[in-house]
Amino acid sequence: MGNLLLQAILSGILLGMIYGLIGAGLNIIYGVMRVVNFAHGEFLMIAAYMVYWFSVLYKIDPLSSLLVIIPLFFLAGMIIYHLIVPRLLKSEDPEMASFLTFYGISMIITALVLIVWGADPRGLRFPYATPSLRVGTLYISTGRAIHFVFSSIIALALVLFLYRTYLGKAIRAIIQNRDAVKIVGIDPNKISSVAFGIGLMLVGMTGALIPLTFPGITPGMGASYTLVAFVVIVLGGLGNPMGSIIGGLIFGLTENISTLFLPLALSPVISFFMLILIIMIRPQGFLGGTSS
Amino acid sequence: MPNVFFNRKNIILAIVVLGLLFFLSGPRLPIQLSFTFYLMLWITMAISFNIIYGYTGYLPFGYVAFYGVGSYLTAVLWSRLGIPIILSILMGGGGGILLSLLFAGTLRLRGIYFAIVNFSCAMALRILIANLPEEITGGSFGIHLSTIYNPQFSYYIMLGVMILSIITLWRVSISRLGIALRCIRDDAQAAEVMGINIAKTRLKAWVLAAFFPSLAGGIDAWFSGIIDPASSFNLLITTKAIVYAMFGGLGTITGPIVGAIGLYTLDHIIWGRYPLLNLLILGIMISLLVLFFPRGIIGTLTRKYPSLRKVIL
Repeated sequence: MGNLLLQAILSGILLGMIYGLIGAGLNIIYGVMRVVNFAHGEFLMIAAYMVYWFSVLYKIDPLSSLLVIIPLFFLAGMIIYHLIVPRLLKSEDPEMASFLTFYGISMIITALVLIVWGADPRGLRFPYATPSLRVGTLYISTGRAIHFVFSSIIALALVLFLYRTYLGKAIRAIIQNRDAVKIVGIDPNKISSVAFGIGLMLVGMTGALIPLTFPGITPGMGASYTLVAFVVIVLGGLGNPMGSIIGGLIFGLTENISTLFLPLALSPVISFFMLILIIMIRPQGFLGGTSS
Repeated sequence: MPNVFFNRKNIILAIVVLGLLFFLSGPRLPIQLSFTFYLMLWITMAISFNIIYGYTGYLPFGYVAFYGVGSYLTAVLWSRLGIPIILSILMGGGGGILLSLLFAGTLRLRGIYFAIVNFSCAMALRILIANLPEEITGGSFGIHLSTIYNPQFSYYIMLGVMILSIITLWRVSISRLGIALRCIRDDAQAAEVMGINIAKTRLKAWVLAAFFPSLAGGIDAWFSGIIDPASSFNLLITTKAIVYAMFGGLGTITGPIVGAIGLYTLDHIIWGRYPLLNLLILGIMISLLVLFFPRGIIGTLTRKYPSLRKVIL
């Protein structure tokens, strides 16, 4: 039991880091422009498919394909921002309108992937020599370990970006008060488009690395990641990007430890119950944040 | 002197009579019975979704939960306890009301929080039902009701429920309750100052909006003869209710009817020929509607020609 618990805690931390990054992307987009990107998981799915095709067609490994995916998703985010968000912000209830629009986009992406690539799950061929590493009495798969290292680097880079650069500080300022930033000469529109780009870039990176931990790629995989992202940002506080990382760790640990006690079929219920419970008890999230 | 024949009352009466005649003669028409049946079902769903989203601005993204609970209660009560099907359907409707009261606490949430929590409740319910002992809910294979298959009878019950839902929306819309709901939606604080009990008023709309989909779910279980967790709790059911109501015009009476007739007909034709395209088209439709046509047909018409408000509600 002790060993099982340790193993669950280790997996919880590894997965929690990934969940945290998925949530951080969603949270930056929500915090900066109150846009609820319900297609977040589907963007992740596209990145996972891209990695799969890079690997199958050109024998490029997941880490190298990041070089293509990062700029591509950043650009795509800026383009989507300019196509959709200004119009959304003009509608009567922008938050609900954005939620429904992006829900529609998630259906469009899923349908297109189904039509083009079919419903069969795709598996990434395992790119590393040794399948698992030993840490004391515990085992972790090499893919997960590499994934964790890269996720940590990305998270660190995100912290440095948000707290040490002008652009990052501007993004945090907009999250705190959209109107006040105009006084100090920040253009919210310009920053918002960059923020959307960064949000998508984060989800693109996590999506590209996801096959290292979960090798199965399917057109329907997006919805569950969108849900995870929501649990994570509600845990960490809506509009608080760094809270998401901690929220991710909490969720990863809860999910993995609870599988020791609950039947496997019920494990998805955990995320739903956590979401309901947290919102009902403490809608501003456990770590605070800018809740409206 | 007002026109004796083409006045507002006569036009509405003529449309209502024609519509009634069409649906009453449903089984005799040279159209598939399942098409007219599901047309009525979707009108009911869009109408009752409109009571909550159109009149209060609350978006229950897990709306399918009421439909699913209605169909499961009906099937379980009929098949396991031997309760007559009509009674089971009514009890399924009662179950929907109970569920709405159980979820009533979520009404204090706003906007996206309410939508997400409601969605989570629906999905948790789906997983729980799928994992109940097979002797009760039949597990992931569901329950068969084919021995009491009676398409004509269930068709007319659905017709009754649809008419009831339309009359309910109409009565709500012209009553004090309807005015109070619109006041709360437009400015909750001002409504409270005017002496409207916000929580109580919202709850009434919520319970009404839960009752009809639960009945519809039960009747659908009877009409189609089989239920399972995946199709009874399919998120696309919520989606269609949203799209149909929004296309016709949220916050109006005729809107959801027009929207459901127009889009369900289209959906039926496309679904029959190109099943894969359905998801794509629904997705495109919902995004475009929200971005470019948020008021829907009736909402846009009455905004452009205010005099039409006398004729269409």
